Amino acid sequence: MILSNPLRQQTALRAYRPSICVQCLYNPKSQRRRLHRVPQLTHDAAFAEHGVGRMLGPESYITAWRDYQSYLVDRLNKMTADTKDATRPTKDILVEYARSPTHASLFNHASMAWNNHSFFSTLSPTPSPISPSLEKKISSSFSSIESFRATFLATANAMFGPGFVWLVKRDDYNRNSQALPELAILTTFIAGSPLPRAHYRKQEQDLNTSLQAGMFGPRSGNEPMMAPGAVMLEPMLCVNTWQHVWLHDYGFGGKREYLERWWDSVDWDVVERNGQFDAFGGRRGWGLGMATGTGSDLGAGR
Amino acid sequence: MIIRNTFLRQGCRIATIPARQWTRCLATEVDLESIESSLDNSLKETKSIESEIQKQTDQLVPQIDSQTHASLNLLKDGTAQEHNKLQRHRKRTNALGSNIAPHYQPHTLVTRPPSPSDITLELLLASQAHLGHKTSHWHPMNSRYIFGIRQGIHIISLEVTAAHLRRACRVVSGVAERGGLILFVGTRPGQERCVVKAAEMAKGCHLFERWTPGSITNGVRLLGRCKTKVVDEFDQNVPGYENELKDHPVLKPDLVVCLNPLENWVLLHECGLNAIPTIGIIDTDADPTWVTYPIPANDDSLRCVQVIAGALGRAGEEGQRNRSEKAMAGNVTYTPTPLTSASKGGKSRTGGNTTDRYGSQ
Repeated sequence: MILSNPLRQQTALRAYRPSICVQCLYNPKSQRRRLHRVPQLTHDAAFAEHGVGRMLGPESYITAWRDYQSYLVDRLNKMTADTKDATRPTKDILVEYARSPTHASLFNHASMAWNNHSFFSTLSPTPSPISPSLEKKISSSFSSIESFRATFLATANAMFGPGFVWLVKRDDYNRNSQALPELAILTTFIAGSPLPRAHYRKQEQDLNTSLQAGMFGPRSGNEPMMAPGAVMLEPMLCVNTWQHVWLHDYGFGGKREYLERWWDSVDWDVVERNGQFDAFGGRRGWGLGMATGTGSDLGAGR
Repeated sequence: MIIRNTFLRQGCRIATIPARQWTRCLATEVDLESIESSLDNSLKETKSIESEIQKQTDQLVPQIDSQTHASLNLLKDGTAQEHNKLQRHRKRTNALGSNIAPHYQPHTLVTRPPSPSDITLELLLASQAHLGHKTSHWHPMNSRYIFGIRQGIHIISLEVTAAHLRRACRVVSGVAERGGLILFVGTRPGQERCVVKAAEMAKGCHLFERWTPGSITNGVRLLGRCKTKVVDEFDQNVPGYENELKDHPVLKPDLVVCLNPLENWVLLHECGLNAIPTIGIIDTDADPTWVTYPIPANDDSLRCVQVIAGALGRAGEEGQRNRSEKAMAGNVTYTPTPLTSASKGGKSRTGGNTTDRYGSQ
């Protein structure tokens, strides 16, 4: 069964000197693994053919989702190749590097990929209306659906520059005291993340308008008082106010109209499911879970 | 045997407990009804305090069961729901951003081992099963398994590996289906988890420390104190055979799977003396005649060993499942062991002649 012939044995004695770079031989660009891939949206085919309702045309959708997400995922692959993050979920990457200035680029791309996917996951060609239970929750936090809509769209319209506006559910909501409402609107500029564990980079404020001396640092009062991840919230819904999404269809002055049409494309069933209102909880907060280090996430808690 | 020994030990312990001494007697009569009512009152007070605290703070105070006075079931006090909520949140948010392509995760070889149908040449190649030893260290009898030479080592043919591994899986599942006792042995560092997992799946025994020589040939001495039990076709304990078990010979495995035959040659020799079939991972420097069913593969790579042990464990699991299903249908797949003092072919623990004790050699 041994296939080595005598001639081969003689030539094997000579020293082997490759003429090409060995690295290129064994790891050419065409053979590098791309472990992060663009996620598959449920309504991708419908969106690519007919666009997203009246909000985006097919070309804009392909630019905003397929092209942009491919770009982000490609950059993510390049930055995480041959590191421990090559096979980690995007959320874990963004949470780990939220505080690291040397990995700002990695955080930005991971966070942007996460936010962009969140945005498109709540859209549908046949959106379902706001259910009575969700209406009750929104009304108790914002006094009515109309005022919620007005506040939300006004907040998004007022943001100068790219970012996201989120509807979040507070997990530390106390049903009995009702000091703070259960639902809230959160803004994140550029590539900020709403996730509690990444809230060092929440970027809740527009630095163009709100920058003051003494705003940052350990004695500013803006630093989180509790350990990372202790203020827990569940992101339910978001709107992407980056210009590349709406510029082609609406022009520079069309942001307001884009936001109004976006509202009509939101699938409110998905939003309600994201809120997880059916599960009891919230009074305890996640402090206990954090301390005991539950679950599969590297590190603790969420 | 152990039943007798523990009884003796416990008997000694009982004898050493000093007799209780009554130093005082109760002077007053006690009204039992008033004790119960006072207990009820205190319980009501506790519950009212509890409900007050629940209203005021964010912390959830676990409720107390009125009968046992222990805290209520975790399924009812909200812990399970919170956990489920966290799991659902994680499942949703971890999936956002990008999909991760299937990739090698070392722990899954132990937690979710591959089954015999998952054996592919790609899996074996990725697990470094084809890497043999230096050509000068080979055992010539392995030439039938070797594909060729590269960079001074022998390369094992993966088709041959796959075929032998599948055959070994078939043997393991067959033995398990017929109620046989399978022993998984892997004594190299790092092999503990996969050996234990494989034995768990096949409902057999495991060994990851040094094999004590004579455990089969001299079992009456080395394993004589071990407990033996009688089970029926549903693996339920059948009590009442203690007398018969006293004289029953020490159990021997019906099949031995050895992940490193080179270190365990004594075990394999004993198996040979006692007609116990063996399966072993045979590297290019190992002797394939030491085992009944060799699996030519790399025994130095932990990943390869875990793949093979996992596949054999899964085969054992399948065999056990088939046996249970047949038992449910009323079909017992083995011949039950006769439990009398004069059991044939066995070694008696309490006396008997040397042939009975040490076997014919």
